[in-house]
Amino acid sequence: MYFNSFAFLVFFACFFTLYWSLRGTPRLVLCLAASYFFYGWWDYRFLSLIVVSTIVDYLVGLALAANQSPGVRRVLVASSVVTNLGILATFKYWDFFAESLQSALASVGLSADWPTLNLILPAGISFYTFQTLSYSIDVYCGILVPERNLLRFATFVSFFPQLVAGPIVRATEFLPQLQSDRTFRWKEFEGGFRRVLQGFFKKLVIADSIAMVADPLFRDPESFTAVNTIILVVLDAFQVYGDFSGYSDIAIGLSRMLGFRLPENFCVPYLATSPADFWHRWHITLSTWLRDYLYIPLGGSRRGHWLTYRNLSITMLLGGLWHGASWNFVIWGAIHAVLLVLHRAWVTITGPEQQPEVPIMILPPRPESTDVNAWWAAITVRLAKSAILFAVVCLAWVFFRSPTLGMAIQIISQMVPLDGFNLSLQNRIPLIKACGLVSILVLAECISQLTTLDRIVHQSPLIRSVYLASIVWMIALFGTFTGTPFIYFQF
Amino acid sequence: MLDSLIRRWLWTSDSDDGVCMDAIELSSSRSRFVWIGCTVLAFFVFVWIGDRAAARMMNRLVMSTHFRYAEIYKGELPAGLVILGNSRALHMFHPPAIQEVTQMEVANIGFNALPTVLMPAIWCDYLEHQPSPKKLIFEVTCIGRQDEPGSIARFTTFMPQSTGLSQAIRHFSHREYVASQVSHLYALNSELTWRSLMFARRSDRDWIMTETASDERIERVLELGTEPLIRSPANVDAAMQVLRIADEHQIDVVLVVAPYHPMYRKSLVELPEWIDWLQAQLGRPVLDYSAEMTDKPAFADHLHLNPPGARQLAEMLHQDGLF
Repeated sequence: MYFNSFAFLVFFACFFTLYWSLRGTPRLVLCLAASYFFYGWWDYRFLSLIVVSTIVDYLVGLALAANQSPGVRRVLVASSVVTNLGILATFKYWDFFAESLQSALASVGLSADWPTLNLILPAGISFYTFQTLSYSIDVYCGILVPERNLLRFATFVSFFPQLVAGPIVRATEFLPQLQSDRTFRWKEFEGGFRRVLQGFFKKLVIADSIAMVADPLFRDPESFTAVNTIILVVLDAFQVYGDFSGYSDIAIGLSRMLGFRLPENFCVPYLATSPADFWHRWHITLSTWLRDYLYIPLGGSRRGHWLTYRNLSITMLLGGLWHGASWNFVIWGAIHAVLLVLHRAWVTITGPEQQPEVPIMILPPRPESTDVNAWWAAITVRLAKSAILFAVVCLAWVFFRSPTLGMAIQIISQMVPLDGFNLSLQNRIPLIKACGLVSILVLAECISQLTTLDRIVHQSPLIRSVYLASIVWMIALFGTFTGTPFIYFQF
Repeated sequence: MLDSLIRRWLWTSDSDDGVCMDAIELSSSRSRFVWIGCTVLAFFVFVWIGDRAAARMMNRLVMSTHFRYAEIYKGELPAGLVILGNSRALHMFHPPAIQEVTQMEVANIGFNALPTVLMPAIWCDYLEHQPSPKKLIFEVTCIGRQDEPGSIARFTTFMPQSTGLSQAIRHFSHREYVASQVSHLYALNSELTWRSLMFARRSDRDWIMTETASDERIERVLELGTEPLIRSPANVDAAMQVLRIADEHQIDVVLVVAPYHPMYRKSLVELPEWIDWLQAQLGRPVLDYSAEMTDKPAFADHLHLNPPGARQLAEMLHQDGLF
């Protein structure tokens, strides 16, 4: 069941009404049942994977609380790691590694008959296994008291708004919210509704409109000239952003309507001024997960430059592989690893960059009176940095979106000769529409940097209503209602 | 309480400390329920009114353009010769070329992927708003084509102008019809709306594909196989309606299969048999020009001509006495 389907709207309307008319345990039971129904709608057989992951980590949590012996605790946490990564490895990576090994052996004249499983990839497997894994690790580290209520724990693992594509929620953030009944607050409901509409706008209006013109590039790149390819590669970057941040907005908004707070996942990522800044703004819950459960345990930046570079590289390569079982994702991760290492080396030479006072703002604070020229110069430098980084990020997305390595290389190589722009009139309209809509998104994101748009919108219910209604009208007029699945559902 | 509601609606600043329904002055749960109900209802009414108002404005904008369908409904497309069909009609029978050859006023009301099932409504609307033409050229390969997804929905733009079109969309794409009734802005969410706006200041009568197809491009198309020619009763029924309407208005109809790129035509082995079947279904002769153009540079792709090709075709049909 996709968020952008009519079935989901009916499902959520029914669920929402029932949810707020129940209290206590029945409400939790409803949450869990609805979450399993939501997931089972896609393929009920894979519910067993969530149930296994849930029970294993629940029992591991209880056992960790009951055992103080370091050896036993290590075995317990290892069993959680093996189970979760085992599920992930079997369903997601088995065929990839089997085929890669066979190819590698074949290249040196050896042959190995390693069976491939050809399993369907269960939706959201990468997300919920990471959630349960982090729970066990947190309990092992003593950061978290284990949850004794199985119903509560199972609801945390399977909470449907974020089950399939995040944000990746830590148990430390979510379990406390399940301890007591959420109360209906109008402000939360309205704020959540606004986020949901914003999410639908990003998905239906931005991402799916771009998909109409950009997706053909990743099916038949040969039909496009260099200039067309460049335009579509840039648009594709906005498609990925609109698609994924749209999903996150909907997930966060739905949760707020139910009284829950989920962590933010995006913060104007394409206005980032450095690779490190980009990863503070893009898929924040994954990058912080990787930082806390991989990069820091590897040693982080505490053991000298070379080990820091190594740790960054390992983290980003595995981060790339987390997205999908393909060399394209590994290369995508490697590109970001190289960027982060180069940036780190640069920072080591030049000293740390000045951090903006408010994390969301990338623009320097405007001076009182005199230094206006310097202020504009600072803005120009930051925008130039953002533009350069954006260009490299766009190139990296080519590997991310291409089905094969050969196609990614072809797309990049055909961008080099800057030859003609010859889209026929037939195709020009969706392209113009996509470009226009992207410029609206870019404008909105830039305005949010100059003033806090939220503050203006929040001033009056009337303004808020006009704002919300405008989003509804825009979706009706510009939305693409083809039911295109979210890109991140495949992960 | 009403006063309190209005004041709240016009200017209430929610402070960051989380003003919530429980905290505002409306004390009882009943008044809280009324407040929520009024707010939600007011919002939906506001959205509905805005939707209607904005759609009305957009519609006027669309109708002010020189796009062919806007002109049909304004009665600004009178002609002695009318062309009907899908993109093969649109890019084969180029009005400027035909006009130059025949000195006749030509209206091409064909369109890219125009579904055959919508043609009776469009043809009927044309005759309702324009004087009857002398002749209709109907490029019939559209009858053998599977409609592309969403091709019917594109015509919701002109639903307010045509009851016939509305009924056809209601019949063949009920979901789109209902959605267009719920939101009039949604009805305008179609390629035809945006394309109309592109022709705000100039006519679209000279619209034609301008490329020249390379052999490599045709070979790539052929690698994917030729498009099957389907035998759809719904399409045949729609074509029969077009013919019946023409007969009622005493308009001569010429059924024609326009040329295919020679390389593509060779692979289209089932075409002669399909034409025989169609002739039997319609009870009228179909003129087969599918293999009549052997000049490869005359084609924009495997299915469509470019301007020199369209000119050649116009001359050929004129010589054959079709125009």
